[in-house]
Order: sequence, then structure tokens, then C-alpha cells
Amino acid sequence: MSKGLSLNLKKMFVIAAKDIKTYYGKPPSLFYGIVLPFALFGAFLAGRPCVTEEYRVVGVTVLSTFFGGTTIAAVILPLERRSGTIDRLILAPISFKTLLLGKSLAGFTFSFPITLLVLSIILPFTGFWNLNPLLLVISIALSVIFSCAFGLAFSASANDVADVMWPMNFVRFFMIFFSGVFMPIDEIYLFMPSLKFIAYLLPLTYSVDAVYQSIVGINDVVMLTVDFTVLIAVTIGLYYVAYRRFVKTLT
Amino acid sequence: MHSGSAGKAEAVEPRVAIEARNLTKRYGEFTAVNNLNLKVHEGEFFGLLGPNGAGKTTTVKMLTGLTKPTEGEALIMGANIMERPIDVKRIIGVVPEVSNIYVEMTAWENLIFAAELYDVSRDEAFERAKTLLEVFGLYERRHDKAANFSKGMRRRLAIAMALIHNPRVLFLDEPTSGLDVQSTRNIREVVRRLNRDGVTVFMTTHFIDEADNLCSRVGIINKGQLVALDTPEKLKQAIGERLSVEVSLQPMPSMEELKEVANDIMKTGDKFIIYTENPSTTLSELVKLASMKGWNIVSVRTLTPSLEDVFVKLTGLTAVDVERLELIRPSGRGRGRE
Repeated sequence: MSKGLSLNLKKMFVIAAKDIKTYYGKPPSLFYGIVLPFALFGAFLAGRPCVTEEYRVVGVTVLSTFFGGTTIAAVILPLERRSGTIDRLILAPISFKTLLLGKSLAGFTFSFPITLLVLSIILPFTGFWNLNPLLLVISIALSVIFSCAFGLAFSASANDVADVMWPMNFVRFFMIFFSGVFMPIDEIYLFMPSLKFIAYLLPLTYSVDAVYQSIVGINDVVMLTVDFTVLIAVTIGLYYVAYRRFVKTLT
Repeated sequence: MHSGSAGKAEAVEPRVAIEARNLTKRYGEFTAVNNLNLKVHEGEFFGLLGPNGAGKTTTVKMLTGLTKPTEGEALIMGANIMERPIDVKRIIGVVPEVSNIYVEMTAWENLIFAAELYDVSRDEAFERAKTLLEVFGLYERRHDKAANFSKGMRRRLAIAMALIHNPRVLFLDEPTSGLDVQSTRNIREVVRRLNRDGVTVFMTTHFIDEADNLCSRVGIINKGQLVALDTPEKLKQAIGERLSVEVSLQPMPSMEELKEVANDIMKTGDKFIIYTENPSTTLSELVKLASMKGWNIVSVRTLTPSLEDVFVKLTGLTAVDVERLELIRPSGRGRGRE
């Protein structure tokens, strides 16, 4: 590994460690990152008891990755900007890419272990079906990374948490209800099958499918490959958007 | 950093540490800084003085890479901040107007975090953090969260963080604004010492006396334009204000009686200000007159134009504005004294 790369990685971890220490305990992180997804999950279960057990597990997994990753990334940058501490990072000899990756690493270390913890509590009670542990870890990791990029893209130029949360929640809820988080896509679009294409435009659909196949067993290798490819491509695209928006704040 | 060619001229004149070339910043229709050109040499203590909203902070932001200039370029030790930001950021320390510390972390954690951002080795970081905390009087509180610190302590911690990597060029944006006397003195003393040790200092301030006392050269900026650039003393000479003698006498004579000494006299409170071309002659005539008339001289001093006079003249503010906008501290009020 070159010296430059190892220094960048070190700084990425330094920024993430500082964010963990500083922002994990903040009310918006706890509410939007933990309380809201589980409350949403509970509310859905209460309203739709017919949902299958596999979908309950997939639903709670995807909600945990999606809300945890997006929230931390979306909370940290506006809070740093508001307190002026973002200037300290901009003035430090680190590239903006490293800075943003450090921020998303903080989101990853928040959402990834929480999701694994939740699954390790739930799965012994639900049965393991044809669970593929390695594939599940990869699917969760990719979903969290995508979610962090999503949160960063929204918050890269924001000065206030509320300015990010309102538009982001609108998009997040839209994606949750139209990506098959709680039930198969076919059932969601049962009354209007022509609108099914919406699901395939939403990256969360691919996250749901990857987690689903990891838990209940691989049933479509091609679709699984598409899932990973789309998640990686969208993540790169979102990081690019976040980077451009962040750099634009300097003008 | 490229070191430039070593020549005879460079041996005489120090290297340019900070250079602004046609630096301009526009926000839509509003021009915050307009075509600013200046050079600050290595080891210099430069002050950028101006009223609130004059463009001081925007200038610092452009010089340090916090904001991109609309036009022009900023060079630090010969390197363009926009083209080689990482190289430049390694050698500069910046203290923004707002003390940007992490209040959730302790003073020690803040310093170590800053050190890690600048690749300072662990041992060196610990040593420097200890020294800086001692210098700024924060060592006893090193394990306290910065949230419990006063404004002055936060400011001192912010400056300590900017110094953790031994910067060659230090930017200070309003370093003592709104601080208590103790913090102000501590900060001024430390910065003065740093400059003596060779650190180039670029400081913005709206305190006229601060610029006068600390800076070897001063630029005055008003409405985004650099309106003056020279040493404080040369600026004072350049405005061509008259000299005067301020005297307080007992019993208080009338203006007419004092006209024997000079014609241009102004009464302020229990004192008279006698405007003159030659203060020493006026002074001896005044002493003679006082002795002749049996007046007791309570106090007497000669007044020279102050940086405040320069500032007032160049910014178009009135002396009342200067006082109202708190551009001077109580201790530094009034014209220069000899």
C-alpha cells in the first residue's frame, strides 16, 4: 500500500472515530437512525399482520440499514457546518473525498453492527431458512454503503439537520413503500401492474432483493448479480453527487 | 513547496509568504472583496483592519482555501491554494472567527484529533499538546469537555489546535473579539512570541489598538477595497493630521486667555486641546504663561495622529461610529500619546 493511500485511510478512520464519539448520541441520530425504523416496522406489522415471516425479517433488516446509514451521514455534515467545525476539516491537509468517505464510514459503523445485532436476536426465533451468512453480510454491507452515500448526497451542502430530514424523509418513505420492503413487489402493484417499473427505478428494491435472497436462499443468480451491480453503480453516482455538492459550497 | 531561486535580492528581502493577486469575491451582485493585491513577507506580522462587513473574513477564507475566489489567486509560500491545497494546508494554521472546537470532546481530545489530521506523530502530538495547553493556561482543565469552557478558553483552545502542527504561516480571524482581558492578553502574548520565533502572522481585527500594538504592517479594508497598506507609523504620518497639546489647568482659564499661546484651541471637558505645528515650542510657552498667570498645570501631553484617525479618515466612519461599533477598546481610546 502506498504511503499516501495509507495516510488517507488513517485520516478517514480518524474522522470516523471522532464522529462516532461526537455524534452517535445526538437526538437526531438516535431518533431517525434507530427509533424511527423500528417504530415504522412495528406500525406496519400492526396494520398488515398477513405479511410473511421472511418479509418481516427482510423488512427490519433493510429498514435498519437504510435508516441507520442515511441518518448518520445526513446528520453529521449539517451539525458540523452549523458549529463551524467543518471548516477545521476543510482546512486540514486531506482531500474532500477522504473527508466524505470518513463521514460515511461513521454511518457504516453505526448501521452495520446494529443491523447484525438485530438479526442475531431475531433469526434464532424465526428459523434460518436457507440463510447464506457470507452473502447476507455482503448484502447488508453494500446496502449500508449505498445508504450512507444517499445520506451524504442529501446533506453535502446543508446547514441544518431539518433542511435535510424533511426532503430526505419524503424520498425515504416513498422508496420504502414502493420497493417491496414489507411484501413482494407483485403484491404492491397488484392493482396497477403497469406501474411496477417504478420499483425497478428505486435502488432500494435491489437492496431488498439481495437481502431476501441471502436470507431465504438464492433463487435468481442473475437478479442477485444485477442487485449488486446496481447498488455499486448507484453508490458511486451518489458519492459523486455528494462530492460535487460539497465542493460547490466553497464557491 | 518550491523554495524559489536563491539570489542576492532574496537574501535582503524576505520571501513572500502570502500573496493575493487581484483577489475578488462576488456573491451574486454583491462584491465582498474587490481586486485585492497584497504581499506579506515571511516573518511579518500583518494586520488587516476594517469595520464589520468590510471583507476581512472573506479575504482570509480565500487565502486559506475555505472559499474559492471569483477572480484572482491566493499564494502561500509561492503555491496556489486552489491548485495545491494539500501542500499549502500542511504549512498554515487557521483560527476562524468562530472557535470551531468539538465541544463534546475534552481539550486534550481536541488537540490530539487536530494532530492526527496533520500527521503529527503520536509522541510529538502528546508533547506539543501538553506544551500548548500549558502555554494557553488550559492544562489543568485538559480532561474537561470543551462544552464547559468559557468563550475565552474555547478561543485559546482553538488557537492551540491551529498550532499543533507547527505552522509556518498563521491566520487569525478576529482572535480577541468579545474576549475577557486575561484571554486577550494571553493570546496577544503567545502570538507575539510566535511571530518573534519566525511564524508569519496574518491577523484580521476591527480593534484599532490591537493592530497598532501588534502589527508591523497594516492594511485597511473598507467595502471590499484595500484603501491603505503600510506600517502603522507611516500611515499615521501620511494622513497629515495636525499635532496638538492637551492640557488641564487649575483654575480653568478662558479660551481667550489661552489664545496668547495659539489661536486654534478646542475645549473638551476640563481640558484644552491646542493645535500646533510645533508642540515643544507651544509647551514651553504654555508653561511660561501658566507660571505668569499662577495657573497650576494638572496634566499635559502632546498628541499625535493615531491609527484611529487614519482609520476614520480612510473608511469614512466618524469618530462616534468608531466608538459605537466598538472598534476600539476602552484602554485604547483616543489619539496616540507621546
